[in-house]
Amino acid sequence: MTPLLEVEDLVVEMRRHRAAFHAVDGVSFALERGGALAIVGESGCGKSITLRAIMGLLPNRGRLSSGRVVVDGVTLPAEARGRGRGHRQHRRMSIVFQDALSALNPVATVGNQIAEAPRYVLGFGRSAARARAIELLRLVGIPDPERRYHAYPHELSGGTRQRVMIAIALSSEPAILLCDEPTTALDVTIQTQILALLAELRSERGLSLVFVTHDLGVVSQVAERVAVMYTGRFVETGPTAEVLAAPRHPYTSGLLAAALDVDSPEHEPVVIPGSLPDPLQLTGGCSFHPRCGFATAECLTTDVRLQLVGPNHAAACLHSDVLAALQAAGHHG
Amino acid sequence: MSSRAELGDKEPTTGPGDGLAAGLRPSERAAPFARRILTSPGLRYVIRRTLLSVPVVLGVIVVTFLLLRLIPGDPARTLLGLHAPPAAVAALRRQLGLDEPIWRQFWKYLYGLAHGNLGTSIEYQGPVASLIPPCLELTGSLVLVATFFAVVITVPLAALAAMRQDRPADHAVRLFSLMGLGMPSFWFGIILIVLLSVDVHLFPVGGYGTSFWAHLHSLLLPGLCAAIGIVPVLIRSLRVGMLEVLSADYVATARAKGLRPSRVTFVHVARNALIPTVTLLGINIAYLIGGTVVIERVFALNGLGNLMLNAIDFRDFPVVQGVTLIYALGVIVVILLTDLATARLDPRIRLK
Amino acid sequence: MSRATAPALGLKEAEHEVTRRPSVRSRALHSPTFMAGATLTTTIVALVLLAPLIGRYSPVSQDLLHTLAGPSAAHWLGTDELGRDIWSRLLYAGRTDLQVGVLAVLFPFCFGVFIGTVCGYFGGGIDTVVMRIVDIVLAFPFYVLIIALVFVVGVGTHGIYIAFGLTDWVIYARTTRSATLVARSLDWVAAAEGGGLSRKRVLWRHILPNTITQAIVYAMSDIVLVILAVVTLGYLGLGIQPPAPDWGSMISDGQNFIQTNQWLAAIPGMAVVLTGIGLSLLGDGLADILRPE
Repeated sequence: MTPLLEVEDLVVEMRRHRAAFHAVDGVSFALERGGALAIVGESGCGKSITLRAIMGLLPNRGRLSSGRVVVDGVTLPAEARGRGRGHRQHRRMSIVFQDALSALNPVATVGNQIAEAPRYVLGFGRSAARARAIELLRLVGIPDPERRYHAYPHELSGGTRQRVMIAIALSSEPAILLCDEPTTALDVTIQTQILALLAELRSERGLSLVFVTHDLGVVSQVAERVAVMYTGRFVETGPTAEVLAAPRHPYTSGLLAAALDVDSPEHEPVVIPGSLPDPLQLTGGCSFHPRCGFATAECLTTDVRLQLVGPNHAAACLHSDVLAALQAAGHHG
Repeated sequence: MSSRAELGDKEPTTGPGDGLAAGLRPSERAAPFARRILTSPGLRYVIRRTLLSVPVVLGVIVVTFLLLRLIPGDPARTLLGLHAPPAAVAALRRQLGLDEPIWRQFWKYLYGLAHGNLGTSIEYQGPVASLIPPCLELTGSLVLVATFFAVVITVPLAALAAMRQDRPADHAVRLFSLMGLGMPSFWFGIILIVLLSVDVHLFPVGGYGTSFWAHLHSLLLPGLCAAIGIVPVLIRSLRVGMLEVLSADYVATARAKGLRPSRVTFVHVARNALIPTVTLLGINIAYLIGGTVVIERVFALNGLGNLMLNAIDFRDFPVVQGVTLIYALGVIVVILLTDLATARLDPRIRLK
Repeated sequence: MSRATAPALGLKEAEHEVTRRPSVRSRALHSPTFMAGATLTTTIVALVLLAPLIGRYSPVSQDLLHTLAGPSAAHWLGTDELGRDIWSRLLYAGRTDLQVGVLAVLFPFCFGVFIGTVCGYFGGGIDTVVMRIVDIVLAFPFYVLIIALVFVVGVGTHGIYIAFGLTDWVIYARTTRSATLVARSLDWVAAAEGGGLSRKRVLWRHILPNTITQAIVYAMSDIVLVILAVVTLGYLGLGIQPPAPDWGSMISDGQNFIQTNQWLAAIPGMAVVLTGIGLSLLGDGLADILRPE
């Protein structure tokens, strides 16, 4: 069965102050029908840009310099940005942004924004589009949808706005939902509700999901596969349970150690030393090596790529065996 | 899943039912008219905003009243100069009512204003108020023509620059507005007259004409010159505003829906870009109005500005005072209208 | 929640903050806008300052035998209707106009920044009163108010200084007040205050350096505005009085001969335009350099 979404060697070039760098440096993954992939990484690793590149919504400073996006076997044209978002395969994907307040048109009612795609893209009539919008409002769990239809985005609470964003994403009847940190700006209780909504949409409507987040705690609730991203590349990919239980890249293991503080009070807070490198100053070799406890001379010179370390599990590290051995012996990385 | 908590936590604080009054269903609109007026957030904003202008109007009246008394010493002597004979000074003092205590003078001034009395012109020996209307008509028309030109020139150029950011078109527009920043509008007027009126006779050299079309024809060049006073600043500011709109996430959302680019541009971008346009126009309109004073001199138009300048030549203080007041009131009205227009365009404002 | 899950506040574009920002001097030298503006402005200022040396005649000496002459070796830009050398007049007029323009902005800048900081930092009654005054001043069209004031206090340079002193400070006050309000709400300012620093010290060392950059950038465009106003007043006969030369009155005099000798009016205007361009570029360049990234 061909995967619904295939991304091959995506490279996105960004310009900043007259210098250019690769914000996304060769990212590949495949998404099955009804499947879900979580992309995890710190701010600035390129995960949001990846989603935007797939949707053809890169900002002016960015350019898809190479790579392919294939939806249901059809390769998407590279320069869809700005020109034709009307490509039929593009319409099978929708995106949900992090900040719903800035992602919603402030001068249009919420209902009209949800009805817009049915009316102008899917060809619904005016009242049919309106009915559809109300239906979608109800679907995403907004009570009193007929009344809420006429509200403006700034009149709603953060959680409601995010639901509206999801309703808009659903309005073009996509098969794939790309979510760019949709719960980051929300309270924990609301976060749980939104994640439950997404799970419901997956199970009842067979939506496929790509979920970008920096929050490891959310990953296991959302997706059965996870990819860990660092400086524009995937450094580890695999089944969520396996990656979280037995990470095979020092960065993943570092993230986990930092995230597990609350649950294990006897552990000292673990901080990954150093900070994200400036992409304009990357030298050769593994980009994580300045902060890595396992780094050797080899790491400075070899261009490390993802290698299989398990049936479905890959890591881009020369020393993933060392890491595995340490874990087996009962230590953290 | 319970969403009731969310609905409550960020409701606007302007009163019950306010936030969704705009979203009333037809059946709910059958409520009594008066109650709808009082609870309609839009109308309440109009009233509130209009009332906010009142202190400014009062302040402006006080300032124009105090205009002559800014200089320590005798106002009449200030007007006539240091070498004026005492008899003339005394006569002027009586004429301007400067003998009386200051609060009495102010009360008389207010009383006069309430009855449309702006004082008596020294030069014409008649009510200042009668001099105003024809001049006001001309200046008002000039301001309208100038605003039209300002909008028609600025908006397309700013949009072009924003949409082609950092490319040649953008640089050309910015260069053009740079040149205009330091250009005296009256000098530009003189150049235009030389090029288009003196040798070529495309436009009248001056004057207002007698018919409506003659009026319009004679206001075109002056209007253009007055517009040049604010076009450079307007282009720069509007370009920034439009860049913000173009890079906004909601534009990405609109494009993500698969809408035609034309719909994205006109419904999402333009509608939002209209807001900073109107706001900026409101901010700059006062400067535009002030610029018409010298333009009227260049093109020999008998508007308020010319009236004022002539009055200065004749030391006719009541006229200067009256015209200044009219100008200020005009600006207050225009700014009020732009604020109301902005509120109409931007639903976020009505709730503040 | 733990560190790794702390919300990343509003980071829309993933910018790396690791590169150190180049020094002010380096940024200045690399900004084409700033360099262009600085070059042009310095050239103009140098020319007018050197007026006694490179202007070969006194700006007021008349030569009634050689009126309205075209450019020649003796008179580089020709002579006007009274035989005065246009090049010299242009330079001396520039001297006066630039000097008056810059000086007229000095008081509004200082006073406006001061009162704006006070209003923004202390708020309260003084804030309300001052802001109402600002609203009232802004209700008058700029030129109308200036002309009315010049009428009352008298024409000439002193009238100009007084008129601008009374009216031009308001924008500085308003922008500085907004900037101060923003600065006051910043965490590190609260930290400084909480740490026991006297208010005066907080204001001077912490708030002012941040708010004053906006005022400085605005001052550049304000100087252009004021020079334009001085020239306009000169054109109307309400500004710098003859026989002192002024670009505005040169244009006004030249307008009488517009049919035959266009350059009499055209040249001073071009000088104003060039000065405006130079100062605006400088201001833009400064804004780019001083902008907090």
